[in-house]
Amino acid sequence: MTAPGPRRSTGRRLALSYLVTLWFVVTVAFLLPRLLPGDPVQALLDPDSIDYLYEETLRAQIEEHYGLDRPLLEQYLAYLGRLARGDLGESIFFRERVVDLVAERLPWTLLLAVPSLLLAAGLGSWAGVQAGWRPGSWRDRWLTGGLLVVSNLPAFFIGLVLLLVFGVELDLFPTNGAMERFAEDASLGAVVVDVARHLVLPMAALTLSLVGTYFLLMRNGTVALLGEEFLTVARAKGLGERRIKYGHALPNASLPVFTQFSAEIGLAVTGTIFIETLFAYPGMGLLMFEAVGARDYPLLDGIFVIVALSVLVANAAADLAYRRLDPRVVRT
Amino acid sequence: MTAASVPVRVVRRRSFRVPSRVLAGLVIVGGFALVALAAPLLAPYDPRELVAAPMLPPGGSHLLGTNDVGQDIFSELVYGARVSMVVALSAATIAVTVATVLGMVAGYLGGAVDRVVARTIDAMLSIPRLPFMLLIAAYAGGGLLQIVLIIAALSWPVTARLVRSEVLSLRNRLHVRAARGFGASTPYVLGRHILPAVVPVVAAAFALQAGRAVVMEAGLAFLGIGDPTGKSWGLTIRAALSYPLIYFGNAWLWWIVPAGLCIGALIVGFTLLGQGLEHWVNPRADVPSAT
Amino acid sequence: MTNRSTRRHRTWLLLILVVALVAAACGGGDGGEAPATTAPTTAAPGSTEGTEPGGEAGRPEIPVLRLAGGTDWGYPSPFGFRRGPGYVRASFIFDTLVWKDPDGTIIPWLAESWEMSDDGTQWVFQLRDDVRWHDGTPFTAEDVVFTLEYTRENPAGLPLRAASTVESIEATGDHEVTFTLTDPYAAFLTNIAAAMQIIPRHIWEGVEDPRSMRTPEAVVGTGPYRLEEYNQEDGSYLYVANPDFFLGEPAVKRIEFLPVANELLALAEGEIDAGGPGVQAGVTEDLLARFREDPYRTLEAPGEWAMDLKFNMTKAPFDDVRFRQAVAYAIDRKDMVERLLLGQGVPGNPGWLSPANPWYNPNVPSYDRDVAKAAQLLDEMGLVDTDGDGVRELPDGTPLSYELPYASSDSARNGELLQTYLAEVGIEVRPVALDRGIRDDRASTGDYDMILVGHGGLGSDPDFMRLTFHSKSKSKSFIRPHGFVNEEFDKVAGMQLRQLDPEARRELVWRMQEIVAEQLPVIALYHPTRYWFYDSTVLDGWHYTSGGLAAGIPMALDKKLFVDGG
Repeated sequence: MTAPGPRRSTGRRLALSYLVTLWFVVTVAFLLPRLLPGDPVQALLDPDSIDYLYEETLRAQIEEHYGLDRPLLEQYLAYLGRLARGDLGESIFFRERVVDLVAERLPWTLLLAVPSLLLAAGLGSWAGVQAGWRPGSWRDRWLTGGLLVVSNLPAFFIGLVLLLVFGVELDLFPTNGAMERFAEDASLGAVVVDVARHLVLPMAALTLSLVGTYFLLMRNGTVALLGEEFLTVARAKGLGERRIKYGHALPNASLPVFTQFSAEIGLAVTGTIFIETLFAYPGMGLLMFEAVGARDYPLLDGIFVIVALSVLVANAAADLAYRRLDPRVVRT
Repeated sequence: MTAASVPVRVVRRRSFRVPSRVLAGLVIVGGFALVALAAPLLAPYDPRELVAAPMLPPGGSHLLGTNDVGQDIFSELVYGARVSMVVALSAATIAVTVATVLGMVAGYLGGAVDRVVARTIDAMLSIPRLPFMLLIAAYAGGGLLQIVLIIAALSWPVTARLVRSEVLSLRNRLHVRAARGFGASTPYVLGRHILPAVVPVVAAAFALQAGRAVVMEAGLAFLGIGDPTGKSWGLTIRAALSYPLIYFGNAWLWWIVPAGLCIGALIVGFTLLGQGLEHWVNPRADVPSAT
Repeated sequence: MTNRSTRRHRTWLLLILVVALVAAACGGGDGGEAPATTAPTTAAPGSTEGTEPGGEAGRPEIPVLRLAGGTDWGYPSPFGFRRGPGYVRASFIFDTLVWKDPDGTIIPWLAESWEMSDDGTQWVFQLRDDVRWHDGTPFTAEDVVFTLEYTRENPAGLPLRAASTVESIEATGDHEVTFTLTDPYAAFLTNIAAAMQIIPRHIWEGVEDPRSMRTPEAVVGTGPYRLEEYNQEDGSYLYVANPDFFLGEPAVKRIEFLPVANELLALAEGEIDAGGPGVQAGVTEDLLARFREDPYRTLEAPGEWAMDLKFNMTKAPFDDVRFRQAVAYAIDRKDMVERLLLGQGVPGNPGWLSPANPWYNPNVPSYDRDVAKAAQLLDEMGLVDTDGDGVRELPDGTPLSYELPYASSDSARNGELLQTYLAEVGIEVRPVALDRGIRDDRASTGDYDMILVGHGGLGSDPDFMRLTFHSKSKSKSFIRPHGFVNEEFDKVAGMQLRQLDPEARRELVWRMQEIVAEQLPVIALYHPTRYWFYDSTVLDGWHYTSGGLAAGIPMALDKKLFVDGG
């Protein structure tokens, strides 16, 4: 491909380019919230009551505490310095360290997003191969048609219908939050069951909304492969249909699926925002929504950086895995 | 059943059905387009006019009842088709055009250009969307054009990445390498060999993007961004959700569900169209025996 | 069915747990847990004969009160909470010098009695001598002195309004404290003595950053409850009664703020015991009927919240009072009440304070809808439609066409309705939904022509009017309209602040409202009625405090009710 030089320098260049991306995102993370109209101090005070009126001294004190009164460049440098030390600062709105807040919220999002994504990618790919292997068959049509409808509905609408039907009308599952509070039975088993019950509706909504993309990618990928030489060769070798389908076609058609998955796994950190908002699921999406509303600069910075890092890591992993996955990529 | 062991036949027979999928997509999308165009004729009321008592159930002169201030919900849906069509088509066009150009150029040229594009894509994808959306909305306002631009700006990187990865695997294929070996110019190879090959990807992407644009418009509305006096389906759902008593009674059946189904139906239309196009433009994908 | 029996089952288990907890709390100070063997002595739920040691005779015993959580209002220390609901959550733990009766009368709390000097600049409080902090340390005048001085350095969750009017504070005895003010201050008792949450000196002395202090010490107060558990991510709070509370062990033994999806639905399904619709919720007759049936009761009170249409009077034509009056005549505020509030509210008071306010002046012009009058005023100003497009123009030809920003968290219907009304008199407005932070920013920096802002506080001390409309007010609140200068208002507003005689002050406050009603720097569009629904078999006797809790928080969560048990 490009650099014929020693492998080490390619690696170094790659690392450098990731570093540049990281710097870009970190800088955007700093500038974006501060360019947003609005003001974190104002957001602290209650627009719904008399105490919205405040005294200048109070404002000055809060600004000084968070360094908001200093020039932007100075704030930026301080921010970079903090980041370099791994310090994400303190949330203005929640008055807690950003790291602690994220540590509280991230597990919930991961608990919701990762199984949903895996389920969606797995189910979608499996169904996609089934459908794509025999394009036009009744199986293809029903799968394509059915998944088309379900997964094309907006995530929050699917969630809303699930919530109204299974949560409100039938009252089968909780519709709010991640777990019951102050339950008298606090044994591990009871908590696990409770958390799982709270997870059912949001996870179902998320999975349903994600599965179609994977299905479509895998189906089209499989269809596109049907005439490829290596399948013909495999057939000529006398390999069984099953073996060809899962051993040859599926891995080969999975490249776009993998691309999609790696794009989504990184965004999973905030991509669940609609579902989290709807079900008041206390994850990162909801935290970010609150942070945006409150103009909480340090918290927004922190979330940006964490999302960016996870996306970059996912991308790097995807880049590295590409060659292994696609037999057609010729190595130089 | 016997046909199963002779894929060539099955596929051949299928290839005649290909236009039918395009047709189905066209019917749905076209149908909504017609509704959008003829909205003033089809809607019994001005969707903004307070025509009746609030929260009327369906029946009589109000097919889907009235909303919390007494506007006709059916008329809202009819006019909503306008917003969704405009958003879907324009956002997808912008996004896919940008994505295709960048993805092809980057994937084919490789080197520094590719690195720049790839990093830009990475960076764009790593920016959390919500603050990004709010930022642009804050400066630009929540008008239709702004929504289209926001959606396009957020949509192109995914497609660009897909196109790029497709081109990456194409550029070393035999016929492409042969063409280059014969001294074909870059634009020629791109136009003649690469573009036709990425069209299926792009077509599918356009369909997905158009659909996604509808979803995103609805999502933005759900989060409270959007032209408040514009009557999009997403805003109708948003209005219903912000009605505090929506969980009481079954008004959601005619207030939320039809709007959601409209969104879904339009996206299905776009996707069918896209899928059909993919097969139509690139029969190779459908007729393996041709190679 | 299974659901209900489980619920009953749970309630029973909860009861046992509560009993055990109370027993544990009685048994030890801050050390180990007492064995739960004392449990059987506790009376059955619903019993009105209090038998608990140290309890007030006749106080009922309510094992648990479940309320709607779900929104985080911060850590309930005086420095950790946010906004009114956060203040209330901290008020269960921390006490103030005085408190309020339901009718707004100031009653003794940490202070047994108080006295004001004749010139109104000195206040002397006699404190109770039987009060202990949750950790057992006695409460003294030094704690009060420390609190004021410390919160001046470190702003608390609610900024102490007008703390700057206090020149000095001194412990003039172990249980006597004297405030010296720079000027007489009519709202001293409500805005300072009833609002300042007293913190223990021995804990906070030397704490550098009280805002992020999250230790159990940070919630050591003198109040009727202790914080047992708090979860920021879903806004759930759990309080247990303080058996050593100075007014006796509280009747409600345990308060839970549970995360619920929809407060009213949760109440209807028995998941919580009391709740209310949001301030902007249209409350239907169906809903009211549902909560009028046993075991529910409905508490209804005039609203203290308003949706304001604010004018930027630094610009033409908004600087002309005739224009503002024309807009007021063009708007059908009664129709807004019918459509937006489904009739559950009243049209906005042109004099701005809400009918909930004890200082409300009912005798101001009402500006009932009068399109002809509006048109006449606009004609008079020379604003006519010269090009026949239905929109009037300024003399220079600029059409009267304006953006109307509003918060996307508020109902879009406000703007839609205004658009309809104003179009009829030839004024075009285009509602623009903005994220709330952006709206707030534009409203407080003056980046608007007309703008919609919703806010509370209209039931609290009327000095609020001075802070909002005085031409030299330092307030940067988004409520404050830009460019309003009225000399008479400034004068009257300054006088009421120093007027300590309630009757004389009332006259001044009424005059302020008359001026605002005539000048209309803002138009209050409507005041939604406040509703609170509750299961009366759990806890009865709910009330709204006249003038609001503490310095004006319009909520029904009065800790005195939880202590007395109805």
